Amino acid sequence: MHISEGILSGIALAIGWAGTLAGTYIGLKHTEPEKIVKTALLTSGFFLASLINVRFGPVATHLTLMGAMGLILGWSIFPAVLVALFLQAVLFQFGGLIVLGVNTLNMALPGLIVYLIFRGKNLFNYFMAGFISVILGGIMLSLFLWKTDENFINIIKIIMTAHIPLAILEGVITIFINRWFENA
Amino acid sequence: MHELPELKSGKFEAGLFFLALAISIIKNPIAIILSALIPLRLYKNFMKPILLKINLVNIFVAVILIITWPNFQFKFKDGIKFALLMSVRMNLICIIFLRVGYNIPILPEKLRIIIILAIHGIYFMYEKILNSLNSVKIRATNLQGIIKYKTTGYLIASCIYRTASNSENILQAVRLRGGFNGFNQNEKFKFYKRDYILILYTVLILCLEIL
Repeated sequence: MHISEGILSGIALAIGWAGTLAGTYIGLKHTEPEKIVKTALLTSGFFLASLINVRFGPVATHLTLMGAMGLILGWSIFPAVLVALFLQAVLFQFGGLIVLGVNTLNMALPGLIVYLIFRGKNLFNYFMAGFISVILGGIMLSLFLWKTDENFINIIKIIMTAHIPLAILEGVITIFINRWFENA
Repeated sequence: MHELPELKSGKFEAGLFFLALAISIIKNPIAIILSALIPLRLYKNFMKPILLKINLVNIFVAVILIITWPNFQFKFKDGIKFALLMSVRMNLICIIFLRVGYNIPILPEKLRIIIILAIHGIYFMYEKILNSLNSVKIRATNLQGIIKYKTTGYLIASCIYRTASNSENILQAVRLRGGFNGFNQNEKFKFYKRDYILILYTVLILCLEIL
């Protein structure tokens, strides 16, 4: 899901940073002082949880938890994802600092969209929140790559195909995360 | 009536911030050693317990990385190398950020607090996640099918739930110590002579990395 440094064009990077800064600004406006600590600790929680690898058939993948984050944090997802990806960039070199804007936008915007659409508390909404967030993330990633160079089209096809099983897995896990919250 | 404790104002050390960013980029071992000299100079006794906890997190992250690295074998050393490099970097960056991180005036105040609390939160939470993972491994060694995803989902949810409940306690502690007002009392952004020296030092390290 992370785009590495040196791949995207200047325009794509600028769009990414513009979207991220706008989203973070609005997100911080929506984050009341009482919610700051919760947002920060949930950021570290998601940061650690996303390090856990899950095997899906022959592949080992790590979860993005975009849908779950979106449903829990709402608008605060932008600052939360920005901080989590910043820490991942400086500590693990996942992504990078220049593409931080694009990566944040790719992960936070789908989370926000599913928060705005799938608010109902039922299994279908939970699954769709996880599923759609990953698919939207994949589409946005593809758009950024396509905008940079149209020759990326073959890579885009592979990326989108690879995102489908991850989206199903994410949907299933989002159901269980929210079911646990309902029972708690 | 008790007097409120005096809030300390701190200086933003811009040079150290750039050095922290450089450390996150460099890979050359000599450049890493050179870049470690200044952060280690900042090491003070009060940081010992914090660094101890951070290193415990590093061990946890390293174990997770080594165990979950695809096609893990003992002769496959990339996971271990990656974990070690990450550990060195994490120590250096944490020393810098814990020392000056509270005083970065370029960022909005709320975002600054989120960064600082998130860094603290990582080592605050590692133990709980490690315990949960261990208990899952002990109780169910070979999870298959939907049960595996159910367990993972419940494990993540319980960690998030505990984090949310802990955040209430931290929020109360922050309020009791003067709320978020302490962050406003820092000095205005200013470059000092030592910042220019540190930036020059950072440029030299980056040159070493490029060459």
